[in-house]
Amino acid sequence: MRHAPALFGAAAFLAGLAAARVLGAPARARASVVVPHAPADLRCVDVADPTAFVEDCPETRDAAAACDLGLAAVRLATEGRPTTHMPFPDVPEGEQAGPWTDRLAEALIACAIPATFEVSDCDEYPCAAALRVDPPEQARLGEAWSACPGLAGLEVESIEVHCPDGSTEVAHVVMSTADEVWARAVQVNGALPPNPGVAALLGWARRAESVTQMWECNVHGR
Amino acid sequence: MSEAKAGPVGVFGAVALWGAAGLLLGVAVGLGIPFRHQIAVPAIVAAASPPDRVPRVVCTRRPRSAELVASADCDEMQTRLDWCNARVNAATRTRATTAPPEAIGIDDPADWDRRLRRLLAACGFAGSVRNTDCSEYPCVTAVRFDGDEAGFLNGDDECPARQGVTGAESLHIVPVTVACGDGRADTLWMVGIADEAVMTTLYPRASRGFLPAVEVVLLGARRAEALAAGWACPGESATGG
Repeated sequence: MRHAPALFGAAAFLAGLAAARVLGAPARARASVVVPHAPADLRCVDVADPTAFVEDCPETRDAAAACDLGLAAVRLATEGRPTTHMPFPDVPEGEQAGPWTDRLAEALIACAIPATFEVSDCDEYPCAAALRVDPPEQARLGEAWSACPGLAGLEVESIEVHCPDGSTEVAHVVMSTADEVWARAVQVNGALPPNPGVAALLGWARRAESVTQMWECNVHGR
Repeated sequence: MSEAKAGPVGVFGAVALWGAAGLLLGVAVGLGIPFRHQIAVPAIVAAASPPDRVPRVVCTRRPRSAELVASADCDEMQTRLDWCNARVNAATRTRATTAPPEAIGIDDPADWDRRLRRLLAACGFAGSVRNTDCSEYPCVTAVRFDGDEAGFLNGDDECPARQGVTGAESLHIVPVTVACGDGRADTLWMVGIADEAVMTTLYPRASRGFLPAVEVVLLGARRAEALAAGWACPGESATGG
């Protein structure tokens, strides 16, 4: 229990996350609000197999191929080095990339959550997703989320994204908060670290930053 | 950030402030009273064998309009390109130190290194100073305590001399678990001393809601990642610093 205080601190943070969401729960929404739907055609790409692309966007394909080489070089340079990134563990099917993303997308539609599913990221475990919520709809997000059974165990938190043009936008990042999920996420070689609460807190932040790195700014201005 | 002075441990203070009892205050209180709470993390019953190949998958975003993308497949590829670029940027970026002029002296890497070593010596701890990262404010250093960190964490009661080194600033110590190249876990302790006025300048909304607090948590994770990259697990040689 030597590190119990640190765990307590992390627990307080996570409790704060939940409390903020509860305290921020808005009054009951008006029925006339137009609800943007999540995409129904969401699909997943196996990063290890970049060949399954069509030929009608060669510039993007070439750029992706060049980036692949650069990323491979970066990873080769850091291979075997100590890292805070944990390998994707063996997880139940529902926590795997495709089913997790499908479940989220379907629940957003089924519960008419006022959010647009922008992108999900399963590069590490657990999967994370970023949603866009129109400012007028943000007030009713908390209540709609809490009332949706398909979103049980998933929490959404707001993160400010700094755009290249200097503006800022808000990404709503979705991740699981289940204890068993984070126990899997922070384990190293099958064992929990000595400070699992702190590891979970830092892991949450790392995943949040990862998915917001793919945030596309100024979508509405295009 | 003013309450960050209350405790010796934290993810740069604002986590504790925003979370009402967060890391810094939690440690300060937790060290002084019998500990009753902890995160309920179930034990891993068996060490799971890593699967032969775990697909690393990134999912697509929806095509926004016919004008923006030639096809859904192109949009999918663009997402994948965005993903790749994000990973490369994350691995190679350098961040400018954003400390304002009044922080000069506090944030000087050489001064920080001397200060940290003086702190450890003043407290009589055998923690070994490893790599330092000053790419953002404040400088942070990875320290290996080899089991004697509890006394260090206990603060002024165990080490009255500590106050003479940290002064009015806040000492932050965060345990960071890393996965070593051989698959074993190791723990580095991220140590930093932050001037609260500087932190308030950098994160002016730290006490006004959720978003800035998350930014500080993200900052802590970034700094931990930077230190991990230069950390030496047992039997290894460090490459960063």
